[in-house]
Amino acid sequence: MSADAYAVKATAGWRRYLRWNTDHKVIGVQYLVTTFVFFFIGGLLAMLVRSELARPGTDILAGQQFNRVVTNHGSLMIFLWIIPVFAGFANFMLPLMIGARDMAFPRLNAASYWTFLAGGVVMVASFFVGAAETGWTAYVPLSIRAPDGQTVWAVSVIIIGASSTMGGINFITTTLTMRAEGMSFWRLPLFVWSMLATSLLVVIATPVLTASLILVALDRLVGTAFFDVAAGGSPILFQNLFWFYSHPAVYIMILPGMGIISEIFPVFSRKPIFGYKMIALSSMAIAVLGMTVWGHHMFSSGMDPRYRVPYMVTSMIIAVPTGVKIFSWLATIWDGKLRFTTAMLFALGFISMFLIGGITGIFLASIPFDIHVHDTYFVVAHLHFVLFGGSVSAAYAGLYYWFPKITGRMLDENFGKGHFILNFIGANLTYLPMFLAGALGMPRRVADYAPEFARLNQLATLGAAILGVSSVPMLYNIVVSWVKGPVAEANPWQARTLEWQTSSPPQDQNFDVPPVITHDPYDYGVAGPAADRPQSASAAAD
Amino acid sequence: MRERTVFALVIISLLLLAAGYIVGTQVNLLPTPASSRAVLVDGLMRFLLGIATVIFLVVEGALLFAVLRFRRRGADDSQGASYRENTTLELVWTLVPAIIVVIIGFYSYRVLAAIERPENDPLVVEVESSQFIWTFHYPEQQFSSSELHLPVGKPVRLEITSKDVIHSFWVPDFRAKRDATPGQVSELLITPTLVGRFPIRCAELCGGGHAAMTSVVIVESQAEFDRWILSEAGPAQ
Repeated sequence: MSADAYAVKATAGWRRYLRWNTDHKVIGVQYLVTTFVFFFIGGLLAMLVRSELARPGTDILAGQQFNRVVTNHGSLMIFLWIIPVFAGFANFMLPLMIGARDMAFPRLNAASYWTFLAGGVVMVASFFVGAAETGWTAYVPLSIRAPDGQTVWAVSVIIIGASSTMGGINFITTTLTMRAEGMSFWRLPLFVWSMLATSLLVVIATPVLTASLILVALDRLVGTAFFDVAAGGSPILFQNLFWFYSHPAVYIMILPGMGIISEIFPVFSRKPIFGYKMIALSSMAIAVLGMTVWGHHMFSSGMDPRYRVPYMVTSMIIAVPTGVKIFSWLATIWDGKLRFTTAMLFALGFISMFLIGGITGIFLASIPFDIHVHDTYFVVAHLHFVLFGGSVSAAYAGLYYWFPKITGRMLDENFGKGHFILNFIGANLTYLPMFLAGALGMPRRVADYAPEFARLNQLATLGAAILGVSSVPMLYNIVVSWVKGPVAEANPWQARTLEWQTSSPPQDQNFDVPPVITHDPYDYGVAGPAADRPQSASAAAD
Repeated sequence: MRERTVFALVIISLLLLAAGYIVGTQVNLLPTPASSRAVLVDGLMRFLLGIATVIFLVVEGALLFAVLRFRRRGADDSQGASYRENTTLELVWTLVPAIIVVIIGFYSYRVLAAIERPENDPLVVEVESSQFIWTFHYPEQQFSSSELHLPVGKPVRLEITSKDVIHSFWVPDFRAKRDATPGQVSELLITPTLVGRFPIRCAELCGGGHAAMTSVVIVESQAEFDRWILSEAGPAQ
C-alpha cells in the first residue's frame, strides 16, 4: 500500500519533520513543535499586555495597539496552542495506545497538519497588515468595521477550523475502526476516551464557527448584510453562532487535558484508576451537556431574557460530571505510593488550579452574579484558571510524561521541578488578584484602568513575569535533553498502556507484531509477578 | 477505629461548615452596594462564596493530605492499593454536588426574578452609546446630559441602545450591567439606595477608546435632582 511506502521512508533523519510525511509520529512531533513555537509567541504577547497594565495610564500600547495584542494573544493561545497541542499528543499517542500502526487516514492527517500550519502563518502574518483588534470573540458590528487585518484574521481562523475538523474526523474513525484485537471500549485508555469526546465536539461545533466567520468575511468583502442592523441583520445572531462553537471549544480545550492526567495518576500512584467507567462516561456527559450551555455568555446581551434560565441550569449541571472526575482522581491517588515526578506534580497542580476555575464557573453560571462580573477581570481570572491552570498544566504534564517516548531521551527532572514550582507560584500570583479586580469593577480588555486597581494589577504583572521566567528552564530542558539527554528505555515509568510496550521512540509501524489486548489499561496495585503486567499479551513476550 | 473515623469526619465537617460560614459572612469582595438589587446580588455572592470555601477546602485539603500521607517512602517499588470503585462513595459525590447545584440554581432564580421585577411609575432614562461616549436622555424632561443623575430611592428604567457597535453599560456599585446593542433597546431596572458619585464603565470591547468610555452616575436627593433638571432643562413645559 502507498501508506506503507510513505511510512518506510519516514525513518530517515530530522529532515522528515520539515516535509510532507504521513507517519502519525512525525505528524505528532510536527504539531507539538509548531504549537510550542506559537505558545511562545502568544506568551510574549501576554507579557506585553501585563507590561502595559503594570500601572494605570497607557505606557507602551495605546488603545488600538493594545486591542491588537490582546486579540492575538487570545487567538494564538486558543487556536494555535491549546487546541492543536492536544492534537499533537493525540496524533503521536492515540494510534499507539489502541495498538494501531497509524491513523485511519494518514494523508488526511498530514493534510490537517499542513493546513494548520498555513492557518497559523496567516494569523501571525495578519500582524503585518494591521492585525485583528476585536478580541478573539470578534463581535459584530465591531469586527465588520475593523481595518483589513480583521479579514486576514478571519481567513486564518477559517483555515484552522478546517484543519481541526479534519483531525476530529480522523481521531473518531481511528478510535472506532483501528483498535487492536481485544481492545474493547472499556479497555480504552482514558486519554483515548477523552479524545473521542473532544473530536465529536470538534466535528459538530467547528463548522459553525467556520460558517459564522465566512459570513463575517462576506459582510466585510462583498457587502452582504448578515449582521448589518440597518439592513435587517442581527448582531445577536453572530453571538449565538460564535458561542455555539466557542463554549464547546472550552471542553475541546480541557477534555484532552483531563485525559492526560487520567493517564498519569495511576502510573505514579501505582494504583488502578478509580471509577474508570465514570471518568470515561463523564467525558461524554460533558461533551453532550457542553453543546447546550453557550447562552451563558450572553446573560447581559440583547438576547431574549427568557432564554437565560435554561442556560443557567445546563451550565450548572456540568459541575456534576466535572466533580465526578475530580473526586475520582483524588480517590486514585488515595492509598497509593505516590512518585513525585515532574509529570505527576503538574497533574496534581492541574487539580489544585482547575478546581478554582471550576468553582468560579458556578459563580458565573448564576445569572444575577454574572450580570455584575460579565466581561470583567473576574472572567479573565476564571478562564485562565481553567485554560492555564487546567489545560496548560495538563499539556506540561503530558510533555514530561511522554517526552521519553516521543524523543527517546529523558528530560532532566530537576529543571522540570524548577519549572513546576515557578509555574505554580506565577500562575496563582497572576490570576488570583484578577478575581478581586473584576469583582471590584475592572472591565476586561482595557488598556487603562482606575487607580484603585493599581495594586492588584502590580501583583498580576509580577506573577506574569515569574511565568515568563518559568519558561526558561523548560525550554532549556527540552532543547538540551532532546540533543544529549540520557537515552530513554522503552518503559521508564513502568506504565502498562500500549505506547510503553514498544521502543522509545517507537519503530515504524509501531509494534513488531500486532498486540493482542488481554487486560485493563491501569492494572496496578497487584503484588507479585503480575506487578509488571502490560495491557497486551504479545508485547509482554518481547 | 470505626468510631474514631466517624468522630473525625463529624469534627472535620463542622469545621468546614464553620469556615464556610465565616468566609461567607465576613469576607467582602465587592464594592459597597448602592442599589436595591446590589443588596440581593451580594447576598447571593456571599452564599456562593460560603459554599465555594467548603468545596475548596475539602478538595485541596484531601489533595494535600494525600500528597503528604501517601508519598512513596525511600525506594519502595511496591504497588498501592488495588481497589477500583466504591458505589456508595461515587453516589455521594455525584448526588451531593447535584443537590448543591439545584439549591444554587433555585436561589439564583429567585434573586433574578426579584431584581428584574418592574416597579410602578419608574423614572425613564434613555441611554444612548456611541464610540466612546455615553449620552443620557430624559424623555419626560426633554433634554440630554453626558452624566447620569438619579434621585435616591426612586425606581429607574434605563432604555439602552447603541448608535454604532456593541457597548455595555455597567455601574459596578449597582451590580447592574446591560449590553447596548445597535438596532434594539434593552432595559435595565435599578433603584439607587445610596447618595454619591459612582463610575459608569463600558464593559464590551468597542474599539480603541474602550477603556476611556466612562462616565459618572450621580445619585442625589429628589430635591437636588429636581434642581439639576431645572437648571439644565429649564422649566417643564
